[in-house]
Amino acid sequence: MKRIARIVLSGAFFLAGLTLGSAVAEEDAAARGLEIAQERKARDTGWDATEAAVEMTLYSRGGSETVRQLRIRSLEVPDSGSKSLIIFDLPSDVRGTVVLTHSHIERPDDQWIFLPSIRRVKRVSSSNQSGAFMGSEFAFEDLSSFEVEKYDYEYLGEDELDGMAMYKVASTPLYSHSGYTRLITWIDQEHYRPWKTEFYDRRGELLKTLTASGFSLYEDRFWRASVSYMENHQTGRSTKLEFKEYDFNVSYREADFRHNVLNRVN
Amino acid sequence: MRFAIGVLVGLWLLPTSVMALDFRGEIGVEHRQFFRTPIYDDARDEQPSIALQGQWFLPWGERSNFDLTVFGRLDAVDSERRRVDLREAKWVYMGDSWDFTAGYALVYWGVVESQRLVDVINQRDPLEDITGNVRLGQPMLHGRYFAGAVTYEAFVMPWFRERPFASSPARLRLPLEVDTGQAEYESSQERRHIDLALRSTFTLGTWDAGLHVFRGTNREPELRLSEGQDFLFPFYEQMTQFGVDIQRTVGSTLWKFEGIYRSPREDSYFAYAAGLEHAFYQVFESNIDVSILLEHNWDERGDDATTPYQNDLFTGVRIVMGDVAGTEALIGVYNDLDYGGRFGRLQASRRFGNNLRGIAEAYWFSPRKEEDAIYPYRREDHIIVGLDYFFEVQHDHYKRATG
Repeated sequence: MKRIARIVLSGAFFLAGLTLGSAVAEEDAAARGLEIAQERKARDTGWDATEAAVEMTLYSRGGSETVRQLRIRSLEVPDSGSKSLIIFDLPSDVRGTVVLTHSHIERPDDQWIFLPSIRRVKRVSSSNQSGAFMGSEFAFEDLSSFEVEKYDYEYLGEDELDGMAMYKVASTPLYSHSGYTRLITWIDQEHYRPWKTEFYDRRGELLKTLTASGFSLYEDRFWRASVSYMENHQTGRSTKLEFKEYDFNVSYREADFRHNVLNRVN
Repeated sequence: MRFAIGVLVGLWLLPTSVMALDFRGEIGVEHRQFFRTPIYDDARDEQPSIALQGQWFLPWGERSNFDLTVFGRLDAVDSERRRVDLREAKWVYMGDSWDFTAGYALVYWGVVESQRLVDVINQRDPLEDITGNVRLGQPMLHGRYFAGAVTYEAFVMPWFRERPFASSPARLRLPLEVDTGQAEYESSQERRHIDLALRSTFTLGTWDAGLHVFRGTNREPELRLSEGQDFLFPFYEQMTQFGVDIQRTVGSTLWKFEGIYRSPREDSYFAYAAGLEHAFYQVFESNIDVSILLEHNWDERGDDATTPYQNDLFTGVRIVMGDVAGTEALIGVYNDLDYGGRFGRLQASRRFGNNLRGIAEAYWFSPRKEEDAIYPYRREDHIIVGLDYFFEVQHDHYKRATG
C-alpha cells in the first residue's frame, strides 16, 4: 500500500515536472523567437528611405503569364511603422494610380489611394489585409514592412536550407484582419535574412509558400532579395516579384509621404 | 477650334523621346444606344464616337514641372461633342512646405459617391458623364501651404468656363434647346469675373475634414426661358458658398458627410449629402470585394433645386472581382423620396491584356411625376459600350529606378 502511494506520488511529481518543464520550454521558445525577430529587425534598421522598381509576374494555374510594373518607395519612421508609396506603371489603364500607407504598430494602418483620371485622393479602409494585391498571390499584409510587435513568436529549432544554417521561427499575427493563423519562417543564422516563409490559413492549413532568392548587399549593411516567389498551394497559382533595382540614395522625407501630395507623385 | 486641333496634332507628332518628357495617350471608341422613342423627332437612337486624350509631363528642374492633358472627341451625332478641350495645362512648383500651380487644372473636393456637392472649382462636363465625374479644366492660380496635419489652400480663378449642353440631333436634351451662345451673367464682368476660394483640410486619426468658402460665379446655371418662349438660355449668378466635407474611416466602414450653404443674390439655402460606404472583403472566401453605398441627398430648395437631388436616397453596390482583368462594377439607384421616381446607373469595366479596357454602362430613368427633375429624361434610357486603348512613351523606370 505504501509502495503504491509512493508510486502514485512520484508519478504525480513526474507529471508536474513534465508540465513545468514544457512551460519553461515554451517560454524559452517564445523568448528565443522574439530574440531572433528583434535581431532581424535590428539588422534592417537605419536604411532611411529606399525606392525599388518592381516587375510582378502572375502565373495562372494553366501557366499563362501577366506582367505588372510598379515602383515602391519606403520611408523608415523611428519608433513607428514605416510609410510607403506604391506607384502603378503597368497595366496602362491604372498607370499613375498611387497607394499610400502609413503603417502603425498600435493601431490599424492609414491608407489613401490616388485615382489619376479624376484627380481624386480617397482615404480607404485598411482592413483588407488579406485581400489580393492587384490580383496576385500576394496579400496586402505580405507587402507591409516587417515590425517585431506585429507578431507572437515561437522558436522551432535549427534547420538547413540549400546548405545554409537556418533558424526556424513560427509567428502568429497580432494585428486584426490577418488571413493567417501562423507563419513559419526560415532565417539564416549568419545575416538573419528570411529565405522562406510558409503561410497557414485561418483553418490552419498550408496556404502559400514565399521563397526569396538573389540577395544583394546594399550600403554594406542591408540585404535585399532580388526575387520573391509566392506559390499558392490551394489554387495552383503563383506570383513572382522581381526587384529590378534598389536605390538607397533617395532623399525622400516625410513630406513626400503625405496624402495631399499624391497628385504630384511621379 | 481649328487652332486647338493644330496644337493637339502638333504635340502628338512631337518626337517625345527627344524632348525627354513622358507621354501617355488614350484612344477610346464608344457607342451609345438609346431604346425609347425620343421626345424630339430628330433625335437619334445611335451615337457612336471616338475620343483621344494625350497627357504630357515635363519635369522642369528639380522642383517644378509642366503637365498638359488634352482631350478631344469626334461624335457622329452631337456637334457639341466634336471638340478639343484642355483638361489640364499647368505649371507646378513644389516648395518644402508649400506648392503653387498656375494654369488649367482639375481639383477634386469631396467624399460622397452619389453627387459632387462641395466640388465647386471645376465646371462639369455632362456631355462626357451625366453623373458629374468628368469636369472641365479651370484656369487658376492655386497655392497650398502644408502646416502639419492642416493644409491651407487659396484659389484665384480669372476666367469662367460655361457648362456644355447636348445639341440637336443628340439625345439627353431638355424639352427646349439650351442656347449656350445666349448665356447671361449676373456680373457685368461676365466670364472675366475673378472668382476666389479658400480651403483648409486636416487629418486627425480616423477623421479627414475640409472647410471651404467660395465667392464667384456659380458653375450651375439657372436655365431661363427666352422671350419668345422657344429656347432656354443659361443664367450664371454670383454666389458665396460655405462648405464642409468630412470622412471618418473606421474598420471597413467609411462615414461621409458633405454640406453646403449657398447665398446667391436672393434665397440662400442649405444642401447636404450624407451616408456610408461599407466593404465586405473576400466574400465567400473568394477574391471578390463587395461594398454597399448608402447616401441621402437633400436640398432645401426642394422643387426649385437645380440638381435632381432635392430629397433622394442613393443605394449602390460596388463589386471588385480581384481578378487579373481588374473587373469591377458599380450599380447605383437614386430613389426620389418626394415623387417616388428612380434613376439608375451601372458602370462596369474590365481589362483585356495590358493596354485595353472595355467598358459597359447603363442609365435608366423612371420618374413618376412631372415635378421630378429627371422627368425630361424619361425616354432617355441608354447603354454605353466602349473600348479604351492606352499607350505611352516614357523614361524607363525599370532601368533607372529613380525616375
